[in-house]
Amino acid sequence: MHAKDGRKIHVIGRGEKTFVTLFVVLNLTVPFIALEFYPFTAIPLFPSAPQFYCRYEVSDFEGQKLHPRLFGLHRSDWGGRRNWPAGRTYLHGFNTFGVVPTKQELTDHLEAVLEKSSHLPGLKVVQHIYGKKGLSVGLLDTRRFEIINPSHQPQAGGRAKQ
Amino acid sequence: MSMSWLWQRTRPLYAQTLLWVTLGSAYWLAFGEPNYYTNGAPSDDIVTYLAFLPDEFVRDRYVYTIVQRLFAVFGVLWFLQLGLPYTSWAATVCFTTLISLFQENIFYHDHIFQVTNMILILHCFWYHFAARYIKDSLRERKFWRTAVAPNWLVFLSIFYISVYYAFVGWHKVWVSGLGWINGVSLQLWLLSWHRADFFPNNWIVENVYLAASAQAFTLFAEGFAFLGLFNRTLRTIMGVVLVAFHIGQEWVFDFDFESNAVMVAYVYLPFAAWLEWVDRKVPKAVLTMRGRFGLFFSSRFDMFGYTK
Repeated sequence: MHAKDGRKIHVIGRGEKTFVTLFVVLNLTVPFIALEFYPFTAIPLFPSAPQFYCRYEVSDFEGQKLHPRLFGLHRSDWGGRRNWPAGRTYLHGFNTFGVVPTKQELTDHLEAVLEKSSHLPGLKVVQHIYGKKGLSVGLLDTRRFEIINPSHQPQAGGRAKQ
Repeated sequence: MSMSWLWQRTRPLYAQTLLWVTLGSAYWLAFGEPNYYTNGAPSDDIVTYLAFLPDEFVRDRYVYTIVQRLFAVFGVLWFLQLGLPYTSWAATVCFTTLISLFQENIFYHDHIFQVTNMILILHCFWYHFAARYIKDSLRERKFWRTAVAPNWLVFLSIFYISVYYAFVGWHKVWVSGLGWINGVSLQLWLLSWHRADFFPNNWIVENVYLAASAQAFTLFAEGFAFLGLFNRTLRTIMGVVLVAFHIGQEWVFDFDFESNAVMVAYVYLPFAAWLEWVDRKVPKAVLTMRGRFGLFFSSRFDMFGYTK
């Protein structure tokens, strides 16, 4: 199409109008349906409001330090939402940022984990609880637990001396 | 913005420079950001269009490298406006595929890429629909003086950023209510990530009111980013607020949202008006360009018409 002075006029066609409409509609709907379908996203960045968190230290009865990850007590939250769609699976574990489990909940969890580790007689667990402390935040409490492994089977001849 | 304005075209002074900024941001994300793969079995979630491909293919680092290099080549060709519109399509598909490969291979979902990717897609469609006019204007060396850039491009860029940030803010309110602004949560995040021993984090961790103020500012910046849709003044205000928010979170958390900050600044702050102002000030047709290279350069990059 040309104007009176001969300049070309580039008319916006039906294709472009359809694209504009689709772009708006898809960006307002896909995040609600799929949550994540790159590059569409519902973006859950830091949506929770935690008031506490726990840090764990784990050792066996002989004082040997063990990694909390082995028992699902590692830190596994980074500000997103748990079980949010992702490309790979991840073992989130028991330690949820913002949650302080009771002794019974912790015992139940660890007894279930220890069922697969019959060589361990049990665990010593130190639970550090952090939270509001006046205007600041800091260590509120430290609890110590001993968890007996109900499925422990002593190895014949006992443990070899090192 | 009226509907008739949306369907008009203008000179590409702002749209083309936005493409340069977006391509620069895409290169930064494709080559400058972490592109590691994490452990873990493939999930059942469909998070990208590659979800249906065999895991051996998606997991192969060689595939990632090839797509990354292809993006580098097609991105440069698009920047030079060669092979249009195919190079715009190829660069956009390569970038989207590259980031999709990354998302498919990590156990969380990374949100630093979406703004750049969506605005790249918008430019790709502009070049697709206007390829003939753009090529004609380049051949006639009138690209910068021809109305080839659709106004919907600017509108949708603003719209996408509005929606992106609104979703972040509203998601917080949906999950935690306005109680999200409590100060303690921010203090605990900083303490648990061992980021509490330098300024201003040490102040935030020591004072819950300061922490709550930072959270309130965050929620305001994100939740009200959509105000930028309504007029230029509100857009400028929210642009300053969002850029300040990004500088703050970069300092406090050191997250990798630098590309978002640049994109928000270029879309929300009045760069279009500033470019027009510079265009009026720059003298026209002062320098004579000769030779194929000179003409090629001036037709593509002399946005203010300094050369002839």
